[in-house]
Amino acid sequence: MVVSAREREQRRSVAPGEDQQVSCALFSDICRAWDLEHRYRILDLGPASGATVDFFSCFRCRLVIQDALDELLELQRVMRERDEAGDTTDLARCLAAVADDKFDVVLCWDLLNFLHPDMLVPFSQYLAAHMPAGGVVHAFINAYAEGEFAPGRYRIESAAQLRRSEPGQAPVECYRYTQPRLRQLMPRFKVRRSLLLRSGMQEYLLERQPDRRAPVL
Amino acid sequence: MLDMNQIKRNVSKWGNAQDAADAGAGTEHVSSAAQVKPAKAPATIGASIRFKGDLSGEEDFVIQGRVDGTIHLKKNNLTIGVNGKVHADITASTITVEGELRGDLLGSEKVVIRKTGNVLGNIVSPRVTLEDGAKFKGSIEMDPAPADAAPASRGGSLERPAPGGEASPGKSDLKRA
Repeated sequence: MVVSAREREQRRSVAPGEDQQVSCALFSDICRAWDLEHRYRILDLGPASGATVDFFSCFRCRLVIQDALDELLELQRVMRERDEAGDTTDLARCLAAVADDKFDVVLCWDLLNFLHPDMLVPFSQYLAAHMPAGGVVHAFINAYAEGEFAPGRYRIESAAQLRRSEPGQAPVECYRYTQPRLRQLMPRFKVRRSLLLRSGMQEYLLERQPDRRAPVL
Repeated sequence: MLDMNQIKRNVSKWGNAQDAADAGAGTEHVSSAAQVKPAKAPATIGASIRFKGDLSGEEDFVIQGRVDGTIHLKKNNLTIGVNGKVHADITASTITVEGELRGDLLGSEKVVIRKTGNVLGNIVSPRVTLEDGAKFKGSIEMDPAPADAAPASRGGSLERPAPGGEASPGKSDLKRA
């Protein structure tokens, strides 16, 4: 899809570096479908936020905060220098807190934008191995970023609205994944729903697919 | 600028309080002035102290130095100061982290991670406060109480608690959406 510079400018409702309100109808869907008797396991791959802790404290859950971006980018840099693809052993080192659990919900806000395809494939395999079938990944993909943009920090303002800020983060190369490309690189997930937001971000709800069983003879 | 009259008034007041305390010693009926106990300053591990081993006690504790091991203050509060570096599993009533901590935290009242805090570990506590700017990696058990101990009215709300409020998972009174 070709988008003019003017349209991009219109979609960017705030200047770079300013806080930005991000609507998140699909995140709201997750919360609405919450079974309150079930104890959920939630993985937040972004930096720790008091607002996120406050929000999930209303639910019975185990919240794991991993803040994985910097370590994944460093691993990605090393892998690309060696001209290798990442593997799940390397990822296990970066995602130590993830190791012993299965997560019903994974919050992947901004992160997928910055993972090279050679890293995204093993990353999605690693996530799938730590999620039950039906588990969901909530992510924002910046469909209109050109080249680089700064990773954001997200605060939950309500189930339907987040606030994104860029507190002095250095810009990072962005891979602008389209939906077909995501399907290709994350084969154990299907896109349950996606929404294009006014800011140009695409909100995704990716669902972990059941593993295929060998046919019974 | 020094106010000599105010200083004299204070000296006189302190003298009277001391007299009252002295007069009350050894008698059953002590004056109310003598009953007021000054707040006990917490025990402190200073910035230059390094400690290895198991720490336990029955008074509040502040760590500005370095501690490796375990810390057990069942009914008291622990503060890891801005200069504190702790590698330990901790049990205490209220745990406040302003410095660095590697280890698991069991706070029977609450756990507070200040904006200068940097924690790598798991938290179990009925209330957890994470200030903006704090660094944390690990897990937080929300509502660690068993399901049957939860109030019958327990339900879901899509609204987050009031800004600045503490996360109080055990005390939520929610209505189903």
